[in-house]
Amino acid sequence: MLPMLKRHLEPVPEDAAELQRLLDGVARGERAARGQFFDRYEAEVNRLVWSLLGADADHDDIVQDTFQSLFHGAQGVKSISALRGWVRTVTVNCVRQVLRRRRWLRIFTDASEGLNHPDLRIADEDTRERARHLWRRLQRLNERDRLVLVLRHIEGYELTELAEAMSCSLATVKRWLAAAEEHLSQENDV
Amino acid sequence: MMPDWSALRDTLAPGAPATSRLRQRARALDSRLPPRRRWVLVLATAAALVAIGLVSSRREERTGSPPTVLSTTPHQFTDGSEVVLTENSLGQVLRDDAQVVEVRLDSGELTATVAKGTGRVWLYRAGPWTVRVVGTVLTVSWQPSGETFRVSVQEGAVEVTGPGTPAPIIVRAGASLVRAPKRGEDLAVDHDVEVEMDVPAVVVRPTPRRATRTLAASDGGPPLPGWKTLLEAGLTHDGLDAARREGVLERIASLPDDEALLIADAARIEGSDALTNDVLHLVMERRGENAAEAAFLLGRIALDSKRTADAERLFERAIVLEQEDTFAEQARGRLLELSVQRKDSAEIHQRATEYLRHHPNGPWAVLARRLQSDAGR
Repeated sequence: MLPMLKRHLEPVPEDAAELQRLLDGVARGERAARGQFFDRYEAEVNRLVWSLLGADADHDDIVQDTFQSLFHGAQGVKSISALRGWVRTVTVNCVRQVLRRRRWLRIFTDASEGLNHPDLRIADEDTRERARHLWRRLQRLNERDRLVLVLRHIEGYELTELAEAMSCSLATVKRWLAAAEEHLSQENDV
Repeated sequence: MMPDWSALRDTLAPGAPATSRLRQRARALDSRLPPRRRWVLVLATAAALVAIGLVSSRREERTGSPPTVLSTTPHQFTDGSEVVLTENSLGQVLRDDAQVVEVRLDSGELTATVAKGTGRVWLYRAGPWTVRVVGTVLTVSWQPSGETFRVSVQEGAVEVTGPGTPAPIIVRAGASLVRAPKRGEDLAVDHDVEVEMDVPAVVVRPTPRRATRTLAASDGGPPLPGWKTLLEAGLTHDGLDAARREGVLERIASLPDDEALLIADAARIEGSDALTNDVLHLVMERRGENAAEAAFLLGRIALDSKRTADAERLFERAIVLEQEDTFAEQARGRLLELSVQRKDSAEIHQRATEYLRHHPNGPWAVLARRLQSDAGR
C-alpha cells in the first residue's frame, strides 16, 4: 500500500552535518573517512551477516564485499536520514548474492553449517537442537524466503524496515513474508 | 512443528567474534585484497554448471524450470519475449514461471525484448544491480572486473536498484544509466531526466516482437498514463502533478483507501507533509481495513518529529483499530520502547505484559520477557 513511505520513517540523525561530511569523504575515496565509516557501521553489518548466515566461514569476506559496495555507492546516497536503511539494504543484497551463488553448492555443504562454531555459546543442548532444527529448515528455503524470515523474526524488523531492506513495497513484502511462512511450515526436518 | 525463533535468536545472540574486527577493517580499506574464498566458489560453481542436471532441489521445482544457460542464440520465451547475449558474455535464466522471469547477467551484455500484457515481472540481476521491468525493450551490460553497470532502455521504463540507490531509479525510454565506481566516477547519463526529448516524459507502448524502435517525436501513440499509473510506477513527482491537474486532490475524500494511500506516500516523498497528514487522517477516520495502518504510520511520522505524546496516542489508536494484526503488534512494540526510554517501571511492566499476551512470539517478545523479569526483581 505504501511502497515508499518506509524511506522517510528513519529519523534524521542529530549529527547529520557531520555524517554528510563523512559520507562525502567516503565517496571521494578518503581512507580516513572510509575507516570512520567502517567503525560506525561495522557492528550493524556484522550483526546482519551473522544473523542471516550464522557462523559462516566466509563471514569476513562477505563483510569486506559489503563495505566495498558501500564505499563505491556512497556518492549515490540522496539523504542522510536514509543512510542506515541503505547500509542495511546493501548488506542484505550482498548476502542475497552469496545465497544465490551457493544454491549451486548446496549438495556440497552441510545443512547445519553456520551453527557449528565454538563462539556460539549455547545454554543447553535442548535449545541448541531446536535452533539447529529451525536452521536446517531455513537452509532449504530460497534466499528470499530465508532473508525475510530472518530479518523479521531474528532481527525484529518492522514491515516498513523489511520492505526497505528487501528493496520492495510494503504490500509486496507482506506477500513475501506470508509465502515464506507458508514455505517454512511445509519444510520438515530430515 | 512451530518454528522456535527464540531458540535461534538466543543461539545467534553472541554475534560474530570481535577479534576479526581489526582484520576486517584492514581488508575493507584495501580494495586490492580480494576476498579469500571467492575462487573456491567460482571453481565449484563452474564444476556444478558442467554437471548439468546434478543440482536440483524442491525449491527449484516449486519456482519453475531449472536455470537455463543463455548464449548468442536468442532464447525464446513462450509469451514471445526474447533474450540474447553478445559475444563473450555469460548469463542464465534463473526463473521462468507464471509470475516472474529472473535473468542473471554474470558478465558482458544482453538485449531483451519483453512482451507486454503478460502480467509477468522481469528481473535482471547484474552483480549487485537489479533491473525490474514490465514490458519493454532494453539492453543491460555488466563488467564485474570494473564493476561497470549499464542499462539502456529503448522502449518503456524500468526501475533499477543497486549499490548507492536508497530509492529505485527510473530509467525511461531513450535514456541510459551507467555506474562505473572503480573508475572513480559516476557516469550516470540522462537517467530520469526529461530534457532533450520531443516525446512525453513517460510513454508506454506495445512492444514489437523483435525489432527495437527508437522513440521519435509524438506520433499519435497512446495518451500519457494517468496519475495512478505514474504513482504505481514510482514516479511520485509526475504522479502528484498529474493528480493535481486531474483535480484528484480536490476530491480526495471520495477516493478509496488504496488510492488515497498512494497519494499519501507520494506526498511524503515529495515533502508535502500537510497533504500526507491530511490523507492519512482521512483514511484513519474512515475506520476501514486500512485505518490501523494509517494510524500507525501517522504515529511513526510523529515519532520522527519527536512529538512523543502524539505518537503514543496514534499507536494506541492503531491498537484499538486492529487488535491482533500486524500494525497493532508494531504499535505495541513501539509503545514498549517509549516506556523504556521514559524508564517508567510500572508502565514498562504493563506494556510488556500486554505485548506478550497478544504476541508471545513477536519481534519484541524477547525484550518484553527480559523487561518483565527485571521488573519482577
